[in-house]
Amino acid sequence: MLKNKRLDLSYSQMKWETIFRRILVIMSIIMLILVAGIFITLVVQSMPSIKTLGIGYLWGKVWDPVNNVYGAYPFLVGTLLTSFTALIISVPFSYAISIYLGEYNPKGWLSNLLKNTIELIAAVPSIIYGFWALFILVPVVRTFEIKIGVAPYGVGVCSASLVLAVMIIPYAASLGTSLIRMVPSPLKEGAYALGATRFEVIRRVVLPYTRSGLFAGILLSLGRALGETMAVTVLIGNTSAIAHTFKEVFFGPGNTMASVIANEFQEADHTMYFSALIELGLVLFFVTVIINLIGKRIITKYTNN
Amino acid sequence: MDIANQLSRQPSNRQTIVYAGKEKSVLAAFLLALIFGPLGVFYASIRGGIIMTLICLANVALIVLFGSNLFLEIIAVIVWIICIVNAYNAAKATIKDMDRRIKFRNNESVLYKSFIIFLAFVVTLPLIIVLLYIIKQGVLQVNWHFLTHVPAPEGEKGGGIANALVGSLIIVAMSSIVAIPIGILSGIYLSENPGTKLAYYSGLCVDILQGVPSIVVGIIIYFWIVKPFGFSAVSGSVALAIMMMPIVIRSTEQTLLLLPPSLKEAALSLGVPYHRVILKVIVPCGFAGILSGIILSIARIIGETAPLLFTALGNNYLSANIAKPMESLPHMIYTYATSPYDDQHDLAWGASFILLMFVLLLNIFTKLITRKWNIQL
Amino acid sequence: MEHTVVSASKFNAWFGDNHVVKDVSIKIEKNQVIAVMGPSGCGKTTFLRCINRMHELIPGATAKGSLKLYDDDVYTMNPIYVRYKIGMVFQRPNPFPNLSIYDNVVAGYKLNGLKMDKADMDNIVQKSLTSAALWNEVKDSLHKKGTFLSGGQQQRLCIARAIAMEPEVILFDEPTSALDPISTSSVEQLFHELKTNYTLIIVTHNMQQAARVSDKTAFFYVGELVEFDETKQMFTAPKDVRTQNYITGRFS
Repeated sequence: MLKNKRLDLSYSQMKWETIFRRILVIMSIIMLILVAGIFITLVVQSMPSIKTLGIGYLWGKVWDPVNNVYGAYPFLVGTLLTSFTALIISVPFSYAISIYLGEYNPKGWLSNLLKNTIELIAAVPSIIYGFWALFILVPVVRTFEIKIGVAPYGVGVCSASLVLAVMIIPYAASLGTSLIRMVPSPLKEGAYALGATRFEVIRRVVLPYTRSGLFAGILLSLGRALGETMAVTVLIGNTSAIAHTFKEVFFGPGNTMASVIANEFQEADHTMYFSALIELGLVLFFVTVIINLIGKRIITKYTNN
Repeated sequence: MDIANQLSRQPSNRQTIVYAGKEKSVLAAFLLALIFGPLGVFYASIRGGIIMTLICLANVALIVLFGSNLFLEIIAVIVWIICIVNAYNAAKATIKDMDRRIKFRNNESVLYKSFIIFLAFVVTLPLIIVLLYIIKQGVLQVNWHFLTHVPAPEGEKGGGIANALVGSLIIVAMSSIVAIPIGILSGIYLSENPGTKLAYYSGLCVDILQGVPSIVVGIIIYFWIVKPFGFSAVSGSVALAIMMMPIVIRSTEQTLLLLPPSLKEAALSLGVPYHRVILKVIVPCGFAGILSGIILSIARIIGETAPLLFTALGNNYLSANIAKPMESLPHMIYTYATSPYDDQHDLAWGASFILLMFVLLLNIFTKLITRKWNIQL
Repeated sequence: MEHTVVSASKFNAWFGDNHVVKDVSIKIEKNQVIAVMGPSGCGKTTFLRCINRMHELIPGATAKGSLKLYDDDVYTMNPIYVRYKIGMVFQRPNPFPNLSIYDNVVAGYKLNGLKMDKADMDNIVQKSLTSAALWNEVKDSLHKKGTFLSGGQQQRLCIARAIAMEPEVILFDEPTSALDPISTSSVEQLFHELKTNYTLIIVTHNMQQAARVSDKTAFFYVGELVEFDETKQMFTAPKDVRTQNYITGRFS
């Protein structure tokens, strides 16, 4: 028997241990259930539309709920155009920030200031970006459009892309910074010892080494851009017709998958309309999930190396 | 003295690699390629010029065949850029004198650095502009009346954001109650059982949830909760909770993985049962990291609009009834920003200011916590 | 005839398929200091951790055979019970960083959710810290966190924490290998005083330490218990050639 009478605990302690372990397992299973549930709900609810419209839905060019004609092509174009334009605009900046914070100035007050500023950009809620842009950026774009001779809508793919670009910079930038900091010094020192300049070391040693990681960062930014709803909804102009020339498409109003769902979900009164919208949600879900998973997988490969 | 003079007057013994052919001016090559594209490359390098012109002609042929379209126009721009780069590199390679070459490369390096610094800091401009404008427009709106009254009917002046303010607080509080326990416990499981199948798939699901667009979450909760029970603040909270969880889970997992294993060993060797080791030793030691993860997730969802669009909806009246629609700050900003009335725009500016201040304060608070409360391990 | 405190009979332990402790049989008597020696990887630490059932916490770790505390098989008892009776001090001092010195000493009680009145706790804290020769140095800062303590003091705090549970046996896993010489000697002095009330089993890499502090020494080699004898005997006239080689430094 225990010499120490104080520790005369009942064996119920073991019961609590097993209960606790079970709770932990259940919590993790909840994650699985959630994802499965999301997927199943999306598929089930878009079934009417999938069955009736089939795969042609994806390149149907007309979206006319009144006449029960549904085609997702305008939204695919809108989504891809805004996201990729935003990506292209943001990449030089994310890249510059990563190189600056990772290579030129990894420590110190200035680098901390820049790092915090970038984090702040990511922290600002998207609706605030949208709202601000609606009142400040759009008039500027409008004047620009007059100058280049297109219809001065102001809203449209152009404004949405600009704001989106600013919003997604932090994601690639913070990832890129950590990756560039992880480049082993011996590698760089070898190049310096051969007489390379700083620029050449960055260009020929650092960047090739981090190439796939930086690519993953771009994928994550893309994933964020594709899923962004509010700022885009406010700025994109909400037209489901597709224009003819590239100029008109880019500088005129449009719609993305996320924005058309946001705008028309409440108005959908019949099943087909409803399930056509949900099918858009399903497509959006698939695309963003796949891109995010690929990006994350590349990153874990990197950090395990 | 004498020897130094002699040495400095001796010609350099270094061998110079001499390029056959004339030396080209890098600046000229750059400008010519910029203006004339593939034709301009000829100045720097004949071979490069031929290749680039051929590619350009192929592009033009495609345009003629298929009509001008976006894809081919983008290709044309890319070809132009490649010409410029080609010309630059080709001209650079023709510099003969070693010293001048080194000087050129050094200048190139400095130019690059300035360019990088410029781009990096330019990014701060949009943020500063946005912040300043919102503060300028919003500060004027905020006063006690603004914070304690509901919006006036459309077209009338006055009113405030009390319903949205209270609504946001209630909805976020409810989300936290759901998301924090599940998130922390999930994070504990992931950090304690890293090799298991469940941990792998569960972690995968956490990553998936983190990437799901916010509007899709709104749709899902619409079907799960709004359809059977109606629009309500609860449904909005659940949607936001789903968005909070991945952040809490990942930060808990990472914080706990950083703790030294000797901590757990010490507690176990004293006969402390597993659940108490986790709850009374491990979690308290990781408290700073876990708390900052929680606060960051709150800062994230307090500004989310899309999940609330078809769940909590909005409400023009101050209500604490969680089974009915409830207004929230981001939703109000959205509705009023897109409305035609100027008074509502004013309210939206004020609400934006309040929301922005909330988010900034939460972020600053997180940084202070991680700095101050990090227990010396 | 002294009472046998810990006895093992044909005891084996594995890490997955790796057989690290092979058929160990040993009888350890009460109120003695036992040193356990051997080259790296010989299974001595693994055997030590089997005694208080810390070995099984590693995934894939298994054990078989008889290992008894007095007359009870350790592997049939509740592991929590076992760890109340058999305390452990680790190689790197590991006081709980979020608890004060006072709370660290009574951690074994508090973390188990036991409510004790303050007088009782004060008593335990004073007794344990005194037995660990730490009381005078910390009695005025009991409620501060122990971060200002030196390595040797932290290790003595860990010893006090183990003593506070009033165990039968205290296991030491290379307790001074992370400490400087002065701290090492202060901890070694403790062993001498502690053995009046407890049985100490000390795994050590340091032969001189084994010679200094222990009554009996066990020599492990490649998982087997090669020799177990009075320390004086072991170091002057070892019976097994492997022991002889180890002591004379042929391998370490």
